[in-house]
Amino acid sequence: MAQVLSTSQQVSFGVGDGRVPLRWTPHFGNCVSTDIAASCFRLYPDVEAIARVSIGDLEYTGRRGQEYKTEYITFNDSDSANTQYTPIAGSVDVDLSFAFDSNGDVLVDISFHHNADTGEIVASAKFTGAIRVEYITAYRIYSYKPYVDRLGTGISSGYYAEYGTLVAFYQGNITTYTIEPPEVTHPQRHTELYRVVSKYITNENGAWEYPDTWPAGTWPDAGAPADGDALSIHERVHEVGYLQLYASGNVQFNKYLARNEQPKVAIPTYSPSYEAKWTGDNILDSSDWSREYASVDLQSIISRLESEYPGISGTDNANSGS
Amino acid sequence: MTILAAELKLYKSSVVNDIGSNGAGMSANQIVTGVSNNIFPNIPQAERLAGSTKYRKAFYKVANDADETLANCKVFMTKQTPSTDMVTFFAGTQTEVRSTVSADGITDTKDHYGVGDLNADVSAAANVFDVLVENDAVETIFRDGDEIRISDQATLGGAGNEEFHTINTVTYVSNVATITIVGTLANAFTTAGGTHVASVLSVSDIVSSGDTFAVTSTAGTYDDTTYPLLADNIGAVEETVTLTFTSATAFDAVGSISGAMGSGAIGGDFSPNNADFTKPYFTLSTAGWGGTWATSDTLVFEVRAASTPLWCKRHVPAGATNVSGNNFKIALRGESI
Repeated sequence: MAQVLSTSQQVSFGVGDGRVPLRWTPHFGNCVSTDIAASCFRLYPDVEAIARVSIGDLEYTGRRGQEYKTEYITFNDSDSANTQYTPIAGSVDVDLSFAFDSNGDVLVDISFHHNADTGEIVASAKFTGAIRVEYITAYRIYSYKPYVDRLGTGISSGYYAEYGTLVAFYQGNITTYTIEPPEVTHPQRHTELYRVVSKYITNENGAWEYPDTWPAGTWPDAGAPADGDALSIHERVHEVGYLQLYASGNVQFNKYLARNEQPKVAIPTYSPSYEAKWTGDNILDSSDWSREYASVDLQSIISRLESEYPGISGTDNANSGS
Repeated sequence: MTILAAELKLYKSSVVNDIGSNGAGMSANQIVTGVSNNIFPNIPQAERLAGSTKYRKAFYKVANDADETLANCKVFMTKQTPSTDMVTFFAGTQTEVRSTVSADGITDTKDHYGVGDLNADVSAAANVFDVLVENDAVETIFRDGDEIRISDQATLGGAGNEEFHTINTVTYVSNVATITIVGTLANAFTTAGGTHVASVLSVSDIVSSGDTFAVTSTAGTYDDTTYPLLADNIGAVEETVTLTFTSATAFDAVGSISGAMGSGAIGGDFSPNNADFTKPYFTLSTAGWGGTWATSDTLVFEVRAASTPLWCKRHVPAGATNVSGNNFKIALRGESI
């Protein structure tokens, strides 16, 4: 007699459900920004997320980076787990540290793969244990400037800054990061603004000034080295201008002078080719300068540099800065 | 030993991708019900907004250790996706790839099967009812002469009623199909009761076997009529097997899909092991050998797997709604004889 039997399978998948975990972190190191006052933050992973900030200005710098990560992640009677950051497909390398089954018996025959759709590390079976994961993750860099305004008037006036919270949204997933004000236990922070430099040359016999039209120019020094000698070109610093940022948000300009590094030339009227190197790109073009550093008169700084360093270059284009 | 429901298993194809080579033969990877992405991948936001079409091949396998036959087999869907995407299925062949089914990966000329919802309550003894389908403009799932399943069972074989009928005529107005069946309904069905109406694909009996024996030998014979190949329902792979003699009594076996299967001799039954399941691919009886075999003689035969191949097709319209845990259900029904 025939027996009727049947089976059914539920086929599951997500529609727009490949949720990518987002994460903001501070970015330390070089950061291309249109303003030296900006702080930089990384948004993991490298996706076109919607990024906003509650107060201040947030700007996508257009820079992307990759970073190697190594971390240990645990499985608790499960067959999938997530790394802290989203791995790039094909970059994941897994080493099993230890694994036990539900009876406490040691397991050794477990394989792993990275599901690029879900971002999960998937095991071939449920287990309890830990794995070491090496992978590459990608991020985007955003620059952030707090909101700065004048407080009070006259001699008692000052400046204050308000810091906001970063928000990122991508495919139904959201993350936030609250930006902390500068460390108030320190009375002030220094931020280099520019440095004035010029060049000189050395060989085994000593130092000489750098010809203006090197290498074909005239040597300004007596006893200059003969052509073809082994030479090294150096850059010396004459002055460093910097900003002092106080806990109150007030900003003040100051400078260091390096008088002992004046040109070593026999002619007192000789002036080397000075160059102003700015620490941030497009500083002089920044329309935000007056709002951010209203207490710092940039034009007077430039005028003084042009007066004290005849023929100085770089005062009309901060892109020459390094 | 009768077949158990748990022995009816769904397997992935050996090639799974979005290009023409997608499909081919059955793999050893079982599709476990309810597991996310067990057939189709997720639909990322960009794909959801742009729309897409994907094909995936799957095989219903009768993994019965006694090599019993599943007869009167019917495949149908019992649940459509909750999202605005649409999944249908159609019959495949054991080894075809997507490029032979759909050259562009979007369109094909197959008869598609799917499921819709009863659009208005229907009384017992009625023979006409309306079914709301997802998108008739994409795929037509009901045709004159098709068998249909109407059921208000929440789970297959659970509480509720289930009836199978033949479509006499079907007409469409937009996405509502008006179906006139041959005969009448035995039960009343309601929309509130979650009644689904599915078109049913009938497939041939599912059991492993062997055929098309071809001998290349001056004096050797094999009597496959009296001693047919005993293919294993669990271990058999749909492929061509070639036995090449290395002496008067010994031979090497190679499968067109499985590759080298080891060596055998006419002095004993030959049962090469399928390591994926720790079961033999088949057993060739020693009693079938006759005549005189010589080096380089060959015996070639076809092995039929205990499976029926299906193609699933997912159509995601541009701007489909965002749904987490999207899913559909497909079912196999048969009789153990």
